[in-house]
Amino acid sequence: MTQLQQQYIDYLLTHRRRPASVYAFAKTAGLDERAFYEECSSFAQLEAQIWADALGQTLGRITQDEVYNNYTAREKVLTLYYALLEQLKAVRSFAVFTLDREPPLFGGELLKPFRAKFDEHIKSVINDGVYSGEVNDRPFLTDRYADLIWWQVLFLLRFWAKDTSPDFERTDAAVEKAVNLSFDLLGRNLLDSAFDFGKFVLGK
Amino acid sequence: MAIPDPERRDQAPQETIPTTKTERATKFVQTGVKIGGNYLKHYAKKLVDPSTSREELHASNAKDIYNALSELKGSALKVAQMMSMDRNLLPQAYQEKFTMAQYSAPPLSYPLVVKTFMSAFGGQGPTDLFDTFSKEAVNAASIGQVHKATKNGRTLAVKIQYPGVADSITSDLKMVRPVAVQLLGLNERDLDLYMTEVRDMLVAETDYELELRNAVEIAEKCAHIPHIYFPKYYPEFSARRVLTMDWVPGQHLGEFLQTNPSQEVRNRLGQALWDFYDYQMHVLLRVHADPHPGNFLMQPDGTLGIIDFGCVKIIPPEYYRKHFKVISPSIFRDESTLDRVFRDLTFVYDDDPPHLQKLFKDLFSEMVQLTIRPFREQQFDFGDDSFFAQLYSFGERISKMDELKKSKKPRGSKDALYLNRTYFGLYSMLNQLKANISTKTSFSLEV
Repeated sequence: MTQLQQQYIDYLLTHRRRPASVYAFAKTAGLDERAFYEECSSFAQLEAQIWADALGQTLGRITQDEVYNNYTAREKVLTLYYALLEQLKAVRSFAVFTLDREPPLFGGELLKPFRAKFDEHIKSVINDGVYSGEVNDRPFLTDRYADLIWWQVLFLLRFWAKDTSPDFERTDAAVEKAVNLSFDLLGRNLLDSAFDFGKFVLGK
Repeated sequence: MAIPDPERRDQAPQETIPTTKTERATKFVQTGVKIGGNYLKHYAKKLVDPSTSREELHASNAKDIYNALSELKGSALKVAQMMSMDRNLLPQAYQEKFTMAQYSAPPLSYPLVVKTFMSAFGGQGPTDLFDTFSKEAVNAASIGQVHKATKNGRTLAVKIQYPGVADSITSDLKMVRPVAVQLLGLNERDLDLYMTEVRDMLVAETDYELELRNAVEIAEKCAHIPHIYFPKYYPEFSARRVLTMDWVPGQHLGEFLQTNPSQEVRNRLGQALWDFYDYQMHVLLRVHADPHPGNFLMQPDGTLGIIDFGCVKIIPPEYYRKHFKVISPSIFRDESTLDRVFRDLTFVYDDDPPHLQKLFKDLFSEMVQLTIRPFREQQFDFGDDSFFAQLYSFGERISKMDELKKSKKPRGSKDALYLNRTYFGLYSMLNQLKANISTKTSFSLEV
């Protein structure tokens, strides 16, 4: 995390609001306003960058681990979630504060760069899953899998933001169950057989 | 926990665990409906074929109850175990199904195992701490699962707790309540009394650090008892939700019996069990209150490995004196002492109407006389099935007594719950072992 980011988080959490202007922030931080613009263009972008960096660092960490490559798709996603939540623990107050201001359903500007990075990673995991047969390739739907996972990660982040159990144990349980559910959906399941049957009957 | 047994897990594959309270409650309702259905089926079958036995009905009920409970994992599973312990309360078919609940539960994902390690051991994963570590769980414990690891040539068992178990205990117990009241016919007052005790014990069980301390202490104090063996525990690889100990070789009771052990070996194991429990109960006043077959590993030479000290009941000395007074035979010769003892134990209340006082007194006298019979003799043959038939039929009679079900006051003490459970568990294991042993006891009233 850059020094500017740290100072910004400090300001945001002590005042519970964004600084009045870049000028005002630069002044309290003892910076030159120009130094701010060299790093980013606005407070919104700065916040989004902090989120994206957290994910970037998480991905860097987990993909370095040799064992990671031997994991199943399900385990890869689980590892990502656990590692991400661990990473976010360091900036939890910031995360909770900024998430709270986001629109509820799909998330807004704050998580845009985060989502771009996330989607890119998840798509490659899903691709691997399709190759290994763990994820079922369905016409039209396969491209939408990443959206499902995105919706899931938003749900989990919000669950974690509200979690008051010691060491966020309830979030751990939520992660297990959510990922199990999504991979049961992505894998070959009842719906495929139903669809196959329907196609056969109607096709006659 | 104990030895790997993949076959058992296959018998009951579980895909998802109901999460929310409503979901879990729905599960119980479904079970209730199914059981109603089983009764209908039973009576329909009986119309056609009068030889259909009640055993069959019990078996299908037990299967449905078991399926519901085993999907719940966590504390509901634990309660199923407890109910399966009180063999005298449950028909045979229920017990067999519930005993299965002691073995299977859906596994934790490996990434969560890694995470649990990381947060417990300052960022070190299982592969950093151990030389090898099994990615798959080799066995499910009731509130966690067991992985096999090695370190410096030693084989270790590493128990990891499911997340959020402590949190869900209270709500799980609330949902077991109606099942206990309706399906098992327990009296509501008794249940209230016991629920707090059960909850406290279950919460204590989620603290692996406490379990480690208990295990080390009891193992140390019981070291002089022949033919028993305790694993060594490793505090440096243990935390609140991780517990590491030596891997204990041996087989569970059921598997062990299939190897046709000789009477001598069975007696030796039975004697070890008896001595272990007697010493804890009457000398230490703290007892491993979980004597179900999953916690004991037996070896062909008749040594008994003892694991799982999550459930340790500490007996208050003043209660100990009341509870075990009935062991001395002289009590039953003196009417007024017996009255006092039964009042102390709240079997009988002063303001009960006289005919109920008489009824309960007779009933509890019979129960006590029956349950302490092994103490009355120097040598007792637990292979004697007639003794157990009497116990079970007494249990069945009690569970159908309206006077008990409708009692507005709890009968018995909360401290008795785990003591009785322990003795029933012990007797039942000794019965299955068909052990003929010396029932010498360290019991004395001078504690």
